[in-house]
Amino acid sequence: MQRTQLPDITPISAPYWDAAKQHELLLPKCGACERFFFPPRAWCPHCYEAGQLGWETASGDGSILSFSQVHVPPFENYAETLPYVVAIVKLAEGPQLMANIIDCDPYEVAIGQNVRVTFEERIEGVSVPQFALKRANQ
Amino acid sequence: MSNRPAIAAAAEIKPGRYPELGSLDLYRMVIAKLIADFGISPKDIDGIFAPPMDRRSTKPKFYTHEILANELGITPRLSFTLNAGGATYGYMIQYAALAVAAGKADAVLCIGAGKFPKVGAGSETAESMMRTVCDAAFEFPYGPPIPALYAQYAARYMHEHGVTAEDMASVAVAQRKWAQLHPDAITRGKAELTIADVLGSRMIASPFHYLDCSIPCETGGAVLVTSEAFAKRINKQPAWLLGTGEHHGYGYVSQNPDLTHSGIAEAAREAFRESGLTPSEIDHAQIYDAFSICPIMALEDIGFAPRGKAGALFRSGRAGPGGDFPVNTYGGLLSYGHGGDASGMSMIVEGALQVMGRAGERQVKADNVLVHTYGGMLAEHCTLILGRTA
Repeated sequence: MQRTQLPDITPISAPYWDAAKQHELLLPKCGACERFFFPPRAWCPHCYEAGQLGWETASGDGSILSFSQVHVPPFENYAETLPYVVAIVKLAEGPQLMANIIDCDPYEVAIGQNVRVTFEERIEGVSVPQFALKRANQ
Repeated sequence: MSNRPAIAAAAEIKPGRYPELGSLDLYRMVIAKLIADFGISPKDIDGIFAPPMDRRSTKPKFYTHEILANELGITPRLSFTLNAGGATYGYMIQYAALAVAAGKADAVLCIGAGKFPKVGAGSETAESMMRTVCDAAFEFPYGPPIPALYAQYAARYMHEHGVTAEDMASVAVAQRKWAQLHPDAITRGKAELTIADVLGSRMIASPFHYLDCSIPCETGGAVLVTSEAFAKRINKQPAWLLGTGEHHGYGYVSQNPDLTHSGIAEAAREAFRESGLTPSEIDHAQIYDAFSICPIMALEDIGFAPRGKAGALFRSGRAGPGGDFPVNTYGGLLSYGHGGDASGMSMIVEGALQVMGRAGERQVKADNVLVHTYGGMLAEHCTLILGRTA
């Protein structure tokens, strides 16, 4: 079943979501100081230059900064089985994303584990980045 | 300072469920109690600070201050509606104190009351509430209920500082003991808790069990921030405002690069600077506790316990009744009740009543008291230091 929770999309964030539809993780990068940041916004949070919002494809690799196994969901049918995992992932490029850690036993998840981006299709053609545990052979 | 500000009056109505009453009815009850307890008149009030009304409903009102001025029949010198979640009331008091000290007002009513509607999963209200407590673009799609947002701080804090589930449970245990001493606490008369009870209660969002979470209910509270002269006229022992501190961290938990810090330390440092006091001179603390991790993080950030050691304050009984460093003497939001939009007032009213010597059976030493409130997902912070001597 496809989930119905959709992000609020603005002109500034549209490239991120357009790339996600193509299963590509695109990150904002400042054209002035050339550093990655997140989320996409008008001012670079590192050097405070405005109007220099560029984009670059991320490696898709990251690690788990923190997480919670959710037993009481805010939405009916958000997950087929409970609990599901809400985590904060620190990407290799530096920025942090919230995501679910999917395709695993939720009790396997721990702080510091390496994860890799994957994509989940939502309704209305929207695709959201998600993360899966990186296995030893990956 | 000629206009040294004080909390001259403080009152709160009994937390519970009031299905027959609307928010304005709760406001009326709060005002009536404040007036009755301290012998004041609406005509004494020349300032009103209030939060949005029915924020958690489908019909929020954003001009609460006008509604209340109309209700009281007054035309105040300063008045507005403001919102910073649980930190709202701390900020009200800070800005009321600044206004009083500057001669812009003499008696500012800082007030909040509200319903805490039970919202079922999947309802429209639940979804719109979710969008307001997290980033509607980059967090909301991942289904993080409020406990899971706080849990990001808790899990990381446990990981880095060795705080255990037992430490957190011991906060809930101590606060249930305090609640037995407060006539209005929602858990008054309920059995005392053990650490095993907390750890055995169902998991809501790890690491929080059901009994690690505060209890939603409805309530309302108010304080009157006044000039020195006004305070002395109506109260033999006002709660003098010795210092206030404000700091804002990250509105979206996923964007905080250090999940063990949220801004508590900065707000407290400013309050200590202004008061000229140090943590060792504080007799007890009232700390906003939506979840059991919060007092642990705050006590360590403020300097009342070494990093990773606040749990021992609770486990040893030092923070409980009879202990040498009481924390949340009213039972905290965990056991007194979390009054929705008005929750941030409960620990302030308790701190003020303690300083005034009006805390009844639960009265403890209260020459200097620290109150810490925060709003959002540990996003914004306000520390107040109250004292018996101006």
